[in-house]
Amino acid sequence: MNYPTIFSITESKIDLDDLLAKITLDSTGAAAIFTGMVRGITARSDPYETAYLEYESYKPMAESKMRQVADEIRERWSAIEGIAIVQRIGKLYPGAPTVLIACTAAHRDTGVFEAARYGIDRLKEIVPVWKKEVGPTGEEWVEGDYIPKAGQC
Amino acid sequence: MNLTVKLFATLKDKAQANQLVLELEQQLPTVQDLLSQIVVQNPSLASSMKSILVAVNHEFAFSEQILGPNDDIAIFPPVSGG
Repeated sequence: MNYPTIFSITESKIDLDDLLAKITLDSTGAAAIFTGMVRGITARSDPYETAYLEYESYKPMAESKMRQVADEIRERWSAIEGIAIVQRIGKLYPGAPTVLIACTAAHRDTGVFEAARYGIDRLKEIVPVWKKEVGPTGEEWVEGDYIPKAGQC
Repeated sequence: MNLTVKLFATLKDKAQANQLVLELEQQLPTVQDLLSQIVVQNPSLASSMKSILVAVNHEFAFSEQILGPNDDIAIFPPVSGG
């Protein structure tokens, strides 16, 4: 069975309804969706405000790594039907969804929640996208902390 | 051998360039040779080298990997998407 897998880096608004329709099959009864958005006010630890984020990607590698994330999800949760992984790039303001991972399955007790969680965690490790944080006092590139190692990247 | 290396995020800003052309004297240069030469030719990137990631043909690459003139090479900081 050929299940739908969608992955893209886009400058356009993320269209959840359209993506969900594309990964919903006749046999689908459950979808777990994670989406992240630009946070205007960060309260955790040292509070700060964000005016906007500017995202950049290494597009051909990013899309190749998104495909890898989808493959890894399917290896771990065989019940997953459709997968959509979308990262929006460009200048994005507070409230705007920036990323979406959606997994579908026949039922909710199939690992579909865990699969979506794995998808966003893995995207943040290996998909080459970076964001520059712009606030009232200046701008700064955000750097992740995951260093891939040979054999596990 | 001349190798072209794409730069992203902080590295692009620090080098003020989207890519670098590096001249390597080794016949079979490795990723490590490339990184050493980057610092020689672009001291502004020295402070970023500790946590730099290297990609060759859209896959992560490590110190001992040998590079060829047709490889698609990029260097960048740890990713921060999402």
